[in-house]
Parts: sequence; C-alpha cells; structure tokens
Amino acid sequence: MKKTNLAFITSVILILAAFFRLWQISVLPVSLYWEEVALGYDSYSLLKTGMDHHGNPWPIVAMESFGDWKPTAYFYALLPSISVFGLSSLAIRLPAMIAGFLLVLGSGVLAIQIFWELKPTSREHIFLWTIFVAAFSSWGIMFSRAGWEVMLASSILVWGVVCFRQFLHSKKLIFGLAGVVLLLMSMYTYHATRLIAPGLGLFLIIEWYLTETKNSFELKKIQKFINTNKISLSLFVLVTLLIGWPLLNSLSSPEVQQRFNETSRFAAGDSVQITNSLRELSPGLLGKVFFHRYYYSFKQILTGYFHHLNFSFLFLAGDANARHSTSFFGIFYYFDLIWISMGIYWLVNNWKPKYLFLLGWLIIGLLPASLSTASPHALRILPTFPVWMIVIGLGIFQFTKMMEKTKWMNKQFWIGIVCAIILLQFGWFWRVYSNVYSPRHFADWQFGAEQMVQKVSELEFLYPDKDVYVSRWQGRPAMYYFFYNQVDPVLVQQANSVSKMDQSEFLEFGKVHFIDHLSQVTPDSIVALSAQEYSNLTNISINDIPLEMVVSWQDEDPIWVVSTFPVIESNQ
Amino acid sequence: MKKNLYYLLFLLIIIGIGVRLFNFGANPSGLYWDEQAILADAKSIATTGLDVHSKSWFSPLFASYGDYKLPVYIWSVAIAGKIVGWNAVAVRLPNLLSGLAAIWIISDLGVLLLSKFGYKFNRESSKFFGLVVMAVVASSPWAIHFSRVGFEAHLGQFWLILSWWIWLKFEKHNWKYLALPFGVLATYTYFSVRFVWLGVLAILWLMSLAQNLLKGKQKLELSFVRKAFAISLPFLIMTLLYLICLWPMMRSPFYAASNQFRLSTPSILNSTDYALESNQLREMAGNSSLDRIIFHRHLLLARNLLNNLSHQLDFNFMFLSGDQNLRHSTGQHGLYVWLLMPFLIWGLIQTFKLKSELALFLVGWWMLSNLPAIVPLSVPHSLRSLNALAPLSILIGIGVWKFLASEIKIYFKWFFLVGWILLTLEYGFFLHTVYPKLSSWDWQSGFGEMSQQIYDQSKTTTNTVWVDPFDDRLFLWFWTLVPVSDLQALPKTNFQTKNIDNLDFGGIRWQEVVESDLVFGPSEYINSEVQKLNKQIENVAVFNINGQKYLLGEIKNE
Repeated sequence: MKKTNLAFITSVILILAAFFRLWQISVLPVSLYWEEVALGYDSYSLLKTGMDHHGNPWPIVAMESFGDWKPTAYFYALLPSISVFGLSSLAIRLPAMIAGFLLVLGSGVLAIQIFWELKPTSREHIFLWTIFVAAFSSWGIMFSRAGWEVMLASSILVWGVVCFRQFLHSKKLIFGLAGVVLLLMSMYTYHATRLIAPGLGLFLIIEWYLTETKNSFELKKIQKFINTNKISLSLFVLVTLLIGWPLLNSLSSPEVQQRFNETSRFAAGDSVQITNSLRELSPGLLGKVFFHRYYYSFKQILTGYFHHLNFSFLFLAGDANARHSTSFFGIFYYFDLIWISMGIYWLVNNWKPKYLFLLGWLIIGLLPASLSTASPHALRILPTFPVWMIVIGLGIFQFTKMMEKTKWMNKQFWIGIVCAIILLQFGWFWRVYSNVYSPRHFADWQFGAEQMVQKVSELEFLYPDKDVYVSRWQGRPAMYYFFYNQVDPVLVQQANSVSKMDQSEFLEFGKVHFIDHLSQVTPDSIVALSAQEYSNLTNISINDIPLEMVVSWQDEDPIWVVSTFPVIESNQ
Repeated sequence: MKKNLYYLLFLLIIIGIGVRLFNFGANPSGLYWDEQAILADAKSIATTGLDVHSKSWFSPLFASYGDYKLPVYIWSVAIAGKIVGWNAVAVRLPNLLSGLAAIWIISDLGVLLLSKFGYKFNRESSKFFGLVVMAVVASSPWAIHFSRVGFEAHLGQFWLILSWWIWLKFEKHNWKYLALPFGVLATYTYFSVRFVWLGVLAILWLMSLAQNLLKGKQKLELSFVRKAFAISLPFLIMTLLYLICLWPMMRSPFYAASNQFRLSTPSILNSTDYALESNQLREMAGNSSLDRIIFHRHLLLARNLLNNLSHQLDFNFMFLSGDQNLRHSTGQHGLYVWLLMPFLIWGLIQTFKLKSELALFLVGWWMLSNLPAIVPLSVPHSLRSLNALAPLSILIGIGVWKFLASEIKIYFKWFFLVGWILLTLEYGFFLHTVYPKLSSWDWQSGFGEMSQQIYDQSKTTTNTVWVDPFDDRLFLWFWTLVPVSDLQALPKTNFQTKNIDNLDFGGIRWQEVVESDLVFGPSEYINSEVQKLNKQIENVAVFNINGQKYLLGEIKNE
C-alpha cells in the first residue's frame, strides 16, 4: 500500500475515532457519576491548594476520596484539563477521551509489532482493520466518554507495551525506559493494572530473554544475557524501584488493601464456607481432600474467567451495570463473533511463540475481574481491549483474504462489505446510545444531582440562616455539593477534621447536613429529598408536589424535591 | 508409553461405569413426581394392558396425571418392572442401560462421522479415537446423572444417536432405513426430539448435497438436477415416512391438550410483550424508519432467544456449575469435568482443520439440540439439551485425541489424564456422599415410605383419612400402592385423583372432620388447626422429611 494512502486512511479513521469520542461528551452520558465528581473535585482541590479535599498534600499512591482510595494518576491527568476548562463535565471526561483515542492508535501499532514477520501489506491491512474496529468499538467508545480511570490506565499500559516491544525490536534504550515508566505509571492509574502491568512486564522480559538466547535456559546463556544487557537491566531495575517504591511500600496499607477487601471473592470467604458445609455433609479424609478450600477458590476464579467468555456478555447484552453497557450490545458487535473465531483460528494454525504474549495478556487481563465478586465486568477487563481488537482485525483480514480466494468478487468488494457491516452495527449502537440510553439509564448516572444542588443553592441564597438537609438516597451528595458549588477546597479541608463522616464521606458541611433518615430533619430548614421521602415528611402526595420544587427527567417522575420545611407559601 | 495412555483411558471408562452403577436406584434418594407417574402407568400396562385411566397400552400418548407422556419410556419401564419389580430400579433401568450403550455408540458414531467426512483412519488411530470418545462420555457428569434417573429425555437421545449411528453405519446399504424406526422411537419417547431428529436429517442432506455437487465447476443442467434429486431422494423418503409415523401422535385425542400444556409453561415467547417494548423503544429513539427496523419486535425476540442460547453455551454451565436444578445435576459440576473445557475449543479448531463440513455438522447438531432448551425461561437446562451429548462429546473427544496423539511430551499427557481421572473420582465421590443429602428435598426423598405408612394406616380404619395438599401430586405415590384394577376404576378429575378409598386428597375440610378421622399434613399446620377447633389429636405417626415435620394423627373430641 502506498504510504500516502496508508496515512490518509489512518487519518480518516483516527479523526472519526476522535469525533465519536468527543461529540457531545458533556451530555452523553447524561450527567456526572459520583466517581467522576470525586475525581474532579479532588483535582480541583489539588490545583487550588496542593492538597486533596481531606487535606493530604500531593498523594502519590492513592487518594482517600470516599475512603475507597482511588489511584492517583487520573487526578493528576485532570489538572491541566480543569485549569483550562474549569470544573466541568468536559474537563473531567477529557483525559479519558484522549486516552481512548490513543488506545485506538496503540492497539494498531501493537498489531504491527506482533505481526511484524508478515508481509508489509498484510501488516498494514491488519493495522488498519485493528484501528478501524477499535475506533468504532462500542466498548471503547463508551469508556472513552466518561471519566473512567481504567481507560487512562489501559492506554498507558498499551503504550508501555508498545514502547518496550519497540525496544526489543530496535534495541534503543530510550524505548525500553519509556516502556518501563509507562507500565509503572499504569499501576498508579487503576487498581486492576497493579496486577496486570507487572504480569505484562514479566512476559515482555521473558520474550526478550527467549529471543536473545534462542529459547535456551542454559546457565551460560543466562549469564551471557545478563552481561550483554547489564546496562539496560540495571536501568530498568533502578527505574522500577524508583517509581514503584511508593506503591511497594504501601502494599499492606489501606490505600492498596481497601479495594481488594471490597471487591475480592476471597475477602468474602465464600470458598471456606462452601467447603466447610460440604465437609460436614461428607466427613472423612476424602471429604477433606476433595472439598479443599484452595480447590474451590480455584474453581471460583475459573468461574470468573468463564463469566467473561459468556456469549451474552461478549456479543448480546454486555455488562449488567448500565453505566458499562447500553444493554443492547455486548462488549463486541454481533459480527465480531465471526472475526474473533477466524482470528483465533488463524493464530492457532500459524502458531508462533510470540503470539503467546496475546494469550498471556488476555489471561492476566481477565484475572483481576475474575477475582472480584461482580463479574462479568466490562470495565475491569478494559486493559484487554487491544488484544481483542487485534484478534478482530486479524480475523477480518483473514476473512477478506479467504473471500478473495473464492473469486466470487474482488478484494475491494469484500473490504467494502466488511466496512459496511461494521458501520451498520456502529450506526445501530450509536442510535441506541444517543437516543435510548439516556432516557433509560439517566438514574444510573445520578441525573438530577446537579439540578438539586442548584436549587438548594438558590434556597440557601434566599434563606441564609436555615439549615440544609440533603438526603443520601442517591449517593454521595456532599461531593456533588462541593463540586457544583465549586466550594473553596480550603473550607472543605478545614471542615475535614471537625465534620461527621461516613468512612471518608462528609455527613455535614457547616449548616448543610447529608442525612439517611427523615428524623434528622429539623423544622425551619431547607430540604432536598427523594419524592417519596418528601411525601412522607410533609404528607403531601407525590402527585401534588409543585413542579417548581421538583427535579425530574423530561418532566417524568420526580427525582429530587427541593423545598423549605415546613413549606413556605412563597416557595410553592 | 502409549499403552499406558490406553490403560488410563480404560480406567476412566471403568470409573465412569462404576459411578453409574454404584447404589443405583437408591441415589437419587427418592422418586420424583414424573418417575412415580411413569411407574404407576408401567405397572398398570404390564399387569392389565391398560394404563391408569384404562386406556390401551398401545397409545401414542398417555394422559398420565395430566401432563401427557409419550409411550416409549413407559413401555420400557413396564418391561423392566416385570423383571426387577415395581421399584426405583425399574423406573431408572432403561436409562442406565441406554446410558451404558451410549458410551460405545457415541464413540463409534464419532469414528463413522470422521470417516464419512473423509478422514483416513488406520486401525490403531480409530481404536484410540474411539477410546477417547468413550472416556469423554463415560466420565461426563451429564451422561452419568441422567443414566441414573428416570427421565424420558435420556432414552430419547439414545434412540436418536442409535438412529444416526445406523444411518452412517449402513450408509451404502438399504439397512440404513432402519434409522427411521429408531428416529420414530426417539420421537415417541420425548417430545422435543422430533425437531432435533429432523434438523439433523436436514443437515445431513445439505452436507451430502454440498459434498457431491459443489466439487469443481457445475452447470445447472439436467444431469446436475438429476444428481441432486438422486442424492435427496433417501432424505425425502425418510422425511415423508417420518411424518407419516407422527400421524398417530397428532391424531391422538390428547395431542391438542398436550401441546397446550407444554405451551402454557412460562417461556420467552409469552413472558414479554414485545410489541409494547418495541413501541416504547421506538418512541424513545425518535420513531424513524430506522428505529422501526432496529427495534422491531421480532428482533427483540430473536435477541432474547440468542441470549438464552448463550446461557446454554456458557462455559460455567458446561464445565463448572451445570444446571442449578438439583434434579438435573449436582449443582457443583458441569456437563463435563472442567479440565475438558480447553479441549472443546481445541476440538472445534481441530475439526474445522480436519474437515470443516464435519465441524459444521457437529456444531449444527449441537445448536439444534439447544433449541428446545432456549425457549423456556429457565435456562440453562441440561435435560432439555441432552441431545447435544453426542456432538459435544465427539468434539471434545477430537480435541483430547489430537492432544494425546500430538508430539507433546508424554508427562503432560499423563498429567492431564491423571487430572481427568481425579476430577471424575471427585464427581463420583460428591454424587454418592454429598448429593443425596443436598438433593433429598428435590427428589421428595421419604415420600415413598411416608405414603406407604399412611396407606397402611388407612386400611385399618373406615373413617376418612384427610390428606393436606401441601404437595398437590402426593396422590401419585398412592397410585403405585393401590391394586391396579382399583386404580383404574378410581374417579379422576383432570386425570388426577381426589379420593382413593377413604383417603381424601382434596384438602382438609375441617368442618367435616369428625372423631376418629385421621388427618395428615405438616405438623405445625395440623396442630394449629386442631387447636382452633378445640379438638384433640392423637399422634399416629410423625415423619421428619427433609427437615420438615409431618403428622398423621387421629382426631379426638375434647
């Protein structure tokens, strides 16, 4: 293929990839989810004061946030974005969008590296197909359009791998160093990549070793490998220790352990309970051997893996969490089943040890999600995105090649057919995503919190002496209050030591109280409650609540009711 | 070294057979409604030539207790009962025997299929491949489980594989038409087999056409059409004869009712208002022409069907957890041991590599077998998809065979086979130690003994014995206790009995209960009702069934 053609097609695909990731990003998804708000406000706090909203100066490993100790990189990635666009949806989502765009390109470059031995034309075709399917992937697009740390982590991860592989190919140390730094950085970006990045790093080093020693494990060869590469190896170890030390140092601290305890299958101790009950039913030595907790834990991990290979999850309905899926499509489109099958078939039949890297990536990439209770999980397995896209790209390439051989039509015809299939599926997805997704799932994005805060602020302005009671029914209202009022972080940091907290979530801020029970509401106050709560408090039927007090989605059922309590006539 | 692999495979087969035979009849620990009803009909026809409703044994459909059963399984239990008596062994024996025979037939079917699709076996490799497939079937928890219980679907799938085995074995001979009677037997054993049998026939026909007509460049001229017709003729004859054989079933007075009964169960077809859902989605999307297509109700239905299919193809279902209905599996084991999961994928790839037509045939059969399972709401369902046993086992067998025949170091093969044996042993151990306790409620364990005592007690009194309908099919256990002629003479409503002599199953009408009547039901309920009526009860028997106490007592006035 001519270089200019390749560059032109690549540019068109990348422009489209950027467009569908950026267009209407502030309102699609319809509102900011609480994690996005927390990311934004802590970054805002860092920008303004050099400390997070709890008053911790420039955290390195994790931000305390709601007590869930989020990895820090996304917060720092937000600094330039917030300084330019302010505390807005666009600013919060921009790093993920850029990362999503770079992930498309990174997947393509990785495809070139993996299939370097193929003819240049084949490589180029696989590259183009890979970026094409990645650009229009519903999975890639959805996670590029909200402030997901995992998207940034996946992008950093893939570029880390790309750089290191470039080092293996060109022997230029700068690529190796960049690779190591990026892989380490991804560990500061998302919980799952703390497991995936070291795994991939190990695979890369094994590949490096095997390539140089021609698959030999003789002591002499090992010595020779170390001697030949002592400078690079020393530098990599040094950089790893330097950058990785804060994380290594906090391995047993709540900053790292918290998330594991919250999500892991093992933290719940299910396998111990199951095996104990089975042993009770079948006492004796064989019972102890066959019903061993390690075996059942292994089966649980396997269950997690298999959840992620379910056809419904992959091709039909996707993740049950509506923030992760439209529920109309799997993480892939319907026809991807064919391309994936063909890609795997080709890889098996043309097996090279280096393809093991893709399999290894898939296995290690699915591991964190398989270890956790909520599986299948489209978000946690996003670091495997490049592998799937490469296999799909390869499968399409093989399909067009196969159809070309049948001589029914020429290659261009089949390329056109495949492009049409992909674009039709994408069009279908986009129609659902842009028109149906928000009306069906606005609640999953906590739509209404922003409008509720605005109404509360208006009432606070009118009645500055009144206490404010905001219900926690929708989750994390304090953070929305800080975010949408752009509360001075210094005030929040000052309140941190004196306010009531739930884990690390504020339950009060000055005269604003974030409450779980209506009994906490005092008369002569401002309240922001769910419609049901408001009705219970005031004995006003839900249908009789005046519209001006109500926050709702397109005049449907009320989400929030914001008013004075008892109701003041002028306010009705 | 390779001899040792043979030994290990033999060991696996022996373990699989052992697990099937051990404690047969006593585990599962009770007879389920359907088994009980089959036993009653079998006993009835074996004794009098008439079923429990006094209809001829040679009926295309039995009314049973209103769920309309096909006759073949009942006939086979009647024969078994004549030999071993009217007990759990008799109800389950046809499945045990067919399960044992299936081990060899599926294996030979695999060999025949590979040969038919052009794979050149030598004697050694065909023997080895056959042994591997036998080991796959023998060790499959799915095959083992349904060999030990009295569900018709298992015998149905046996006739189905036997039918296609005959077709392939005698392909070049008129004996192949013997496949038809076995196909008909299959259809008269289990309802949904008809779709699978016809589907497999259609795939075989298409394959034959493709194999013979798509070679080289063919022109559409008379000789081509003649050739196509010649190839199609046996298939057309088979289809026609098959449909004719279904005629008696369709003419049965119970046919419409049986269809209605089957369609009335909650299914994906009747549980959602697709038109309404489609309209709502169109409205949300903007109601353009495009929206009318992408949110069409048929597409929504197809999506749901595919979604159910995906549950049937789920690796967790196939290799780890199986069907969660404890009558269909242990709930802790898949259709095959989990170690075989990679070999299904490997088998698929290898089969495509060997002969893509064979792969398409096996995958087609597998998918067709899932059709009866994907319409009802309860998915995944290992019983309704039992017809996939043969294609899946052959695919896995090909994967294992290719692995064991490869150049891979022998200790990997040993490691794998020993792991496979251990997992089969683990399954057998679970099945015979934990499963009876876990599943006793699902198998209504203890109902038989309880019913016998109540029945015996009822014979000692002329007063009414009131039976609370906490289980509305409890009368089925009494059907096998009553003399057959009495059972046939009993008045029945919707093919169910409300009274057997002085036993009343219609619910305890407390205002009619008089002194010396016997009442039976859950202890708590009986005691509280008796207390309300200010009466006394003298315990005649207390049963502790699956953690629930039941009381048979005699009413005394205060």
